[in-house]
Amino acid sequence: MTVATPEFSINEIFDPFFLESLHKQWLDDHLTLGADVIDAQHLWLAALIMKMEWLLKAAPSALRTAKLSSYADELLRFLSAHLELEELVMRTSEMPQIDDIAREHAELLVKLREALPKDAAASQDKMAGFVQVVKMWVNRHIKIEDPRWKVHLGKKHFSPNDYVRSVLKDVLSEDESAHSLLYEQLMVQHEVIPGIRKETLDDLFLLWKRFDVRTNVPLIDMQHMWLFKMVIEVEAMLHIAFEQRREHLEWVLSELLSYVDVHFMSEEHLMEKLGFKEEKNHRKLHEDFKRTVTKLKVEYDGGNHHSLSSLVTLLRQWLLTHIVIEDKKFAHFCEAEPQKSLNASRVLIRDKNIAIPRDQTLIYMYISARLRAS
Amino acid sequence: MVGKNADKRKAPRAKVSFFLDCNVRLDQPAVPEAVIEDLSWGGIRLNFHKDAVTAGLKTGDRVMGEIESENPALQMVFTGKVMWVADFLTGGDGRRRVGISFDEEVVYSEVLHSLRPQEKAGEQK
Repeated sequence: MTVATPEFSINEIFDPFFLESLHKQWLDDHLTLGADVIDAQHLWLAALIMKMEWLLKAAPSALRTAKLSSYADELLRFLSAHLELEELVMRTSEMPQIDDIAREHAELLVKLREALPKDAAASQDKMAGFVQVVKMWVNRHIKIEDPRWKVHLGKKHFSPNDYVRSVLKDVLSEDESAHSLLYEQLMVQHEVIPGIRKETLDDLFLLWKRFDVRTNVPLIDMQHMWLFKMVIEVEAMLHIAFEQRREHLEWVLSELLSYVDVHFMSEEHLMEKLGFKEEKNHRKLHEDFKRTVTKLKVEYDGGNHHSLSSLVTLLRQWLLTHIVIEDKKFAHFCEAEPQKSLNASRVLIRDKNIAIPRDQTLIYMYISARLRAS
Repeated sequence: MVGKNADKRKAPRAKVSFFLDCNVRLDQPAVPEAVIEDLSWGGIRLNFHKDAVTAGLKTGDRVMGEIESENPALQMVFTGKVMWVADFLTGGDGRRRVGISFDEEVVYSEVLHSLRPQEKAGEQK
């Protein structure tokens, strides 16, 4: 059976660390035009180009070759569709010299198809050249060609955003497309991981880097990152008036305390399985902490509102200090036999049915990638 | 590409690619480098050169291999069964795409655990 070439996977574009770099480059290069449908398409083109640039820096492999071919195919397909769409909008707005512009577009696509190496494995230099040419042209297109059309619309007193939407409303169903989702997440919500604020991730990265508490046991690292994230979120709430934050704070605290239980259980179980000598002392610290938390919680439930602030302060300070000082001892212990620690943690995940939410994995991958790059 | 075909599998695909920085090495049959095209709770989709060794691979065959990565959350040894095989050409190069279902005994990596389908309320195990 013979089937088509490999499909391009959109999933890779949504990698959080990649998105962060894309966002930065987009802003640094001032690529926003001001018509969100067009901007979303430009962003997708910029993403494909950047992905190819990153791949070209990686060591040669079958994986890299296959991915480069897929990205190049998608880039040409998408660029062609984008130019066709823009020409439609320009024609509708009676843009001067639209026939010349359309001819230039057609010639460009022919040249790019010719420049695309037929055998990606044997022509890495040609592929690098192809990416460079596309990048230069797309940058010029976004920064010089399209703004001319925007000026043309301005002269006619049209808002570029409204105009494009009105022309394209019957042509495209854009809202569900991958590039629209990317634009919404990155440029409207400003999130590299959906639902998690960029500032929270920056704070988390700084904390993680500063205290370097990596155990290289992914389960424990993921749980520590998750606890840090929750602490940062609780900390951010301390700046809001109590009555406003009360309901949300109660919810976050209850989530945090439940998660602390899961984490303590994971650590204690692993310490025991791996024969960590300080396991009993560590377990006692956990128990002391839980006793104090329970006492404050009972006081709060009994009507003492000040106990909630004390609880928040305790959580923040205790967790940070405990992870940085006490858990670091366990991290050093795990370093000696990383494979053994890794295997034990995976058996623990399976046997105790420990949930690893997707956001936890995303944060872990993001922080790991950012650390490698820093 | 987007929404082209309905996903018929029990486990969802990874919405974010967790397999950017990893490769697969199969020990049985011997395939030193395979491209991961997709990864889900139940299995993996690979693509590799069609050569004398891999040409004989067929549906139902047993496979054994390892996901290799610098990131420990991705590393994983696995055994499984070939569920389907499809051949294709890219740039004149004959390649093979296979779908592998993991054995139940496989100890999953953390990344795969995060792809575990969530049970709905009231759903029996």
